[in-house]
Amino acid sequence: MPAVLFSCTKTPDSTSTVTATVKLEAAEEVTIPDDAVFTVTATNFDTKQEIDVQAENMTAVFAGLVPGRYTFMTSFQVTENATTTIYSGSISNTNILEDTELTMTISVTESASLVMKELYYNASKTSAGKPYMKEQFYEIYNNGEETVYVDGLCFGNLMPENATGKANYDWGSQYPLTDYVFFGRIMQVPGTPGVDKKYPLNPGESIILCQYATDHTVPELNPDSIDLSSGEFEWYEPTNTNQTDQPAINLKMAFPINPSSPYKIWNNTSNGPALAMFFPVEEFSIDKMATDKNNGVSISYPIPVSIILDAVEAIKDETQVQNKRVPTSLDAGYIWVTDDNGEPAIQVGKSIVRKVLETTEDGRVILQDTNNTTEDFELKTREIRRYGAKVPSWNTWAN
Amino acid sequence: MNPKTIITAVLPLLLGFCIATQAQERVELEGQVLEAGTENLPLDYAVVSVLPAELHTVTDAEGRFLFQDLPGGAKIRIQVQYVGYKTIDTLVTLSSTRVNRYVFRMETENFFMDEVVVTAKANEAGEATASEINRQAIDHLQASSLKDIMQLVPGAVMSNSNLSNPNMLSIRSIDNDPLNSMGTALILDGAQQSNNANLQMTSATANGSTNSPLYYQDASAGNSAAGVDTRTISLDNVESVEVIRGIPSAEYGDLTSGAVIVKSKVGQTPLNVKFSARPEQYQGSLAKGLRLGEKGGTLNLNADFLYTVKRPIESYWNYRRFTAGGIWAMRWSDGFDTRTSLNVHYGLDRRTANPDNAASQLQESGRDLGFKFNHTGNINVNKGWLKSIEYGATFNYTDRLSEKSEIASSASGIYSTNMVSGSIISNWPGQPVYDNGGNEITNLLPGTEDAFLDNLSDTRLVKTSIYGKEIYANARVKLTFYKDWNNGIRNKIIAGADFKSDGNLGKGKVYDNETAPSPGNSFSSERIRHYYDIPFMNQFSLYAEDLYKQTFGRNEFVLSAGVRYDNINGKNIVAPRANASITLFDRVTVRGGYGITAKAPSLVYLYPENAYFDMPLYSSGYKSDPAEELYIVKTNIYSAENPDLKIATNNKAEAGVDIRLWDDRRLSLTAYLEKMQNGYSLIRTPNTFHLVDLPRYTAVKENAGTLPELELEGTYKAWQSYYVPSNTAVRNKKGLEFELDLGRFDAIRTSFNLSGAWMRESYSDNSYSFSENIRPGQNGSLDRNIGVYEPNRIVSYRERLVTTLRITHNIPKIGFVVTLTSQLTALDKSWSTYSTDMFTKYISRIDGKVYDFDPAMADDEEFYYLFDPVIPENREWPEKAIPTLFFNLTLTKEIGDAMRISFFANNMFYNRPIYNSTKNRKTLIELGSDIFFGFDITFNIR
Repeated sequence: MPAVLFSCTKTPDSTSTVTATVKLEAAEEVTIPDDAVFTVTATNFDTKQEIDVQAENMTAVFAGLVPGRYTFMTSFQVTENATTTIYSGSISNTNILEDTELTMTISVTESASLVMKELYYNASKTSAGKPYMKEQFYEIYNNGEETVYVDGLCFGNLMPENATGKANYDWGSQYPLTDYVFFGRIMQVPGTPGVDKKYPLNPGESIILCQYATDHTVPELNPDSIDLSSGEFEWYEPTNTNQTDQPAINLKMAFPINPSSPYKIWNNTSNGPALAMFFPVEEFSIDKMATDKNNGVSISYPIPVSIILDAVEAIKDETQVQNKRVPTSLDAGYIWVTDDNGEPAIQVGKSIVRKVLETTEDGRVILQDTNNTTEDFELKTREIRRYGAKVPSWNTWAN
Repeated sequence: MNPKTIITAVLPLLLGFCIATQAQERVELEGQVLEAGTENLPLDYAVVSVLPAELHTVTDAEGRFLFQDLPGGAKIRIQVQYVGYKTIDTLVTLSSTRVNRYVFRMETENFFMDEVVVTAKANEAGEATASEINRQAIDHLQASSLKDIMQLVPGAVMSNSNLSNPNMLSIRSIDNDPLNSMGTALILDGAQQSNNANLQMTSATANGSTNSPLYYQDASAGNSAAGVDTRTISLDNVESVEVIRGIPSAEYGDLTSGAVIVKSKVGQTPLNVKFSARPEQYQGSLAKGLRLGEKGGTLNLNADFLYTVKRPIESYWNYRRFTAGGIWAMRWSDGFDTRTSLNVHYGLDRRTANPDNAASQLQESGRDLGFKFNHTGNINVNKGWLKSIEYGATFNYTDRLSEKSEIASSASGIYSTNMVSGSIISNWPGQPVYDNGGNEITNLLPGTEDAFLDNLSDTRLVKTSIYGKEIYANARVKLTFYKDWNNGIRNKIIAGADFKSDGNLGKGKVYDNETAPSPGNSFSSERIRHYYDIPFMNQFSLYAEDLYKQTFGRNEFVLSAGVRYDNINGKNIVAPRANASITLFDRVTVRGGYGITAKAPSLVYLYPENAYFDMPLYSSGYKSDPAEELYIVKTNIYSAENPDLKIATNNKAEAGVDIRLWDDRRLSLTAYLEKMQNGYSLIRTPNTFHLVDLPRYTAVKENAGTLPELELEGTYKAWQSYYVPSNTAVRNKKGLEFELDLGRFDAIRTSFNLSGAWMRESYSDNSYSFSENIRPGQNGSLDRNIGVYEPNRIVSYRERLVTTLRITHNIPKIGFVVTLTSQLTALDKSWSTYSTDMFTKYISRIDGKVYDFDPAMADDEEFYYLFDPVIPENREWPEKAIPTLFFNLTLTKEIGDAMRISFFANNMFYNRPIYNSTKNRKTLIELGSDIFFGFDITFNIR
């Protein structure tokens, strides 16, 4: 391993540690409350060692660091009137080889009551060892105190589909990367947000968006899978004879708007997609798409960060940390799926699941949402409606 | 040129020749052929030819030959050929007064000779532009297949031998386009080979491509609709190869690009044992020419085995071949000799299950097992103008099996065997199904009783087998007439007839119900097809050609003009061809030619498979109780046969100049122009889009243990489209080939040969193309219009300039030859042009009819989505590679009389230049190929 050899010759002796001084600075138009307490976490890229330092006077001093590549992250939240305001910032993979001063910009987001509860993109394998992707699902939960109508809700993955370094898109200067996210595909619950009220979601209820809302445990599919026949929504393309239209309500594909061929199967990458959801504020239009200036072919749909309800950065492994697609203001962290040995893994049947913050007196679960996936999510074997999430009243086919 | 004008130009020549005769003294020519040296060993079965009269004979046991009835006083050309010996080619003047007796002493051909020819040689002017490649060049190049030899032709790029993919031949082609290789005739000892009955493919009608199901049969090569795979032809018994690039003689048909003519070794030879090694390739062969007693003729036997691995890391993925054959040459009398050959070949392309991928168990194999029988005879008539008659009969049989099996995931889907178009059946055979209003949903037409219908499992074994039994028979006769008018004018006329029949008696494309392929897009699906149900294709051809030569002083005028008529299953084509040249002062030749070449459609195009569609009207999906499962499917079947399919033709024109500099050193330039406007294609037309009603049902009530109650949810419109064979492929080419052969400079024992070509090709399709963009919103793939773009919308170009310098140094005394080949690709560029993005017509989603498209409708709600939202800025930008220079080294050394070793290293300096793509920014492209080397060791055991 050349990396080891390289570090052997370059390893400094124990006395030559360095100091990193991280100054926290509020982004424009952001006012940080006086009582905010920021704990900044530094993660060493090679050793994965984490060091927490509480900032004083908005400055966190990391003394005695072993020189290397580090990622710094912080977030602080205030909850008032069922709305949580989160202040967060991060600096990804910076080389700290000598005493260094860094500035971390703190931006702000408000957490909405709709949150992504469980994201199952990892998929599994059949007993024959073949990938089984059809059981992918995404559960969205009403984490607040009020009923939300999900009519017209949009959910999709950001570009690039895989967080590989190669995809260096240039969507144009009118879309600053801190202010927009770039969707590669958007699935939409039928209806117009704010107008249609067909699909109410009460606090403590969840909806499940499925690739294929069927009972996957039948012998013809995959007996080792799960039963998704109670899923509220699915993707169904009428010319696809590989799949059967189930009672679940069919999602609409909002983007791409007019693809050149039918989109048969709604797959997200097992390597970790960046997922985000929002209520659109205007109609989808071909004129509002962005085209990559580098290859001239790739397209995306830019959506302002300000209307994103929730976003989660899932990656394949630690090598992709620097290729994050979700801006820090939406998700200061990231997550990847590992197998039982702690190794990054695809198709091992694991979901990323939001942690429970508290349980109310009537037994309803409140999930943790600090806009930091590293903090908020954990890995669990896939399961729908865990923690007693309820089925919405209009879902008549769920038993 | 109009074919009729050519006929009228040729006829007077033929007539004029018949009327005029002239009295002349007749003499005999006798002689003996001996091996060079002091022992005066006679060589029997040497072929002695009198040219240009085209008289041939073979020598008897004492090496003697005799020609009678030759014109006294004439200057004739005598050629003596014998396998393993250097050909003698000389001019003699026949004396009218004394006995004409000559003794020819033949030198053994090996690398001890002063002059070794290890490059392609240009042929004589006045006939088709061609390159001749002899045995020495094949040995020195260390070619493994016929395709490797083609790199000696001017303008071809150096390439590494690769026998893990089909090796198809192509001529004057940059991209090895399947249409070019399909139109390249391969002629083995007078017998044209055929790939016309190759049907080792999945449905061309459904996919629009002739790809084999086997991954490594290489989609781009399109083997089934391309040329003959030359891997089954062993090179060990090949004496010489001629590549006709220009306008071929009318004798050659069923081709568009050109012809590759292979001559086998015939005659007594030592036992030749050869071993070759390449990276991941091993080969061994034996060849021997025997004399069968005093009057039994000669028999040449050869056998060869080759094994190659696709990639070093995948040893379970490999190709092996075995060939064996014999040629029996028999001299029955001074005027009659025959050759009869039988060759068997076995090839197996195989990928066995990867031991590290138990999940997929992907296995593929492509097996050929066949034989080729060929008999040819030559009768020296020499009565009047008729000099000789050649005849031949060929019978080839190839048994092929292509198989692919794999544990596939996402292989679920509706599968049906229903063969009744318009019928609606369910997975409950013979049982009608009604909706909740009492209306019958099913339409159980006669013939649907036994049809199988099911929703196949998601993860399962998928296995397709394609059995082909290709039969090819050919019978031919050719008459050669010759007349020397003794006034400097000579006429040689050939006329002949040719019959070919191709068919396939294989079981065809088959699979079991459980392992059937999963359905395709837009309701398209597969059916079993038996090839023995497909008719044979028969070709009958007639041709005549006159070669007119007139000498005046030191100048010569040559005109060869001919015409060929082909009848292919009732389709007719008349193809005139002409080549002319004038040589001034025996030094400068100016030449030109024009001709039409025609290639028969293969069975793929003549008898395409039907298009099948299975459209589910209701699917219950999988149920834990199978009694509750219900699938109702409507089947539509369309014939894809095109009765108007024409024979594809290529118009070839060329002009050139040959300058003899001094001695044998010469410079040749050839400019050519080729236009094919009606090449074979698989296309969709507005008529192959069918709008069909899709009534969709939903279950209003699930019933435990029995079928659900159905209600009509709505009726939609769905598109069903498929591909039909057509004549819309357009291929235009122009180029300039050059060859500067400086021959050998004895002082430095080195010869120089510079050759190359500039080529420019364009590809387009003279048919409509379609936009099938999805209409935004629910069911957008059903209720949408189809946009129709104008024909030839996209034209793709490729341009290349390649120059190759071959420097050969030889030391005869020690039998050593080394060749350094340096190839400069100064220009390599490809680009496309787009005519318009506006539709010319549209197909209506309401009635399925075609209407004109008014550009004013572009923003209409009904049409805006048909336009591609993004037009890439770079789509017309050219991709231009940087110039490259590669070096190959080949060397051969004779060790004593009995052993020879050869070594080669391709890209010997391991040059892999990288450049920044000029079309896709940020993309780097690596050129060249890895260093590739190998060696041959040959033993000659006397």
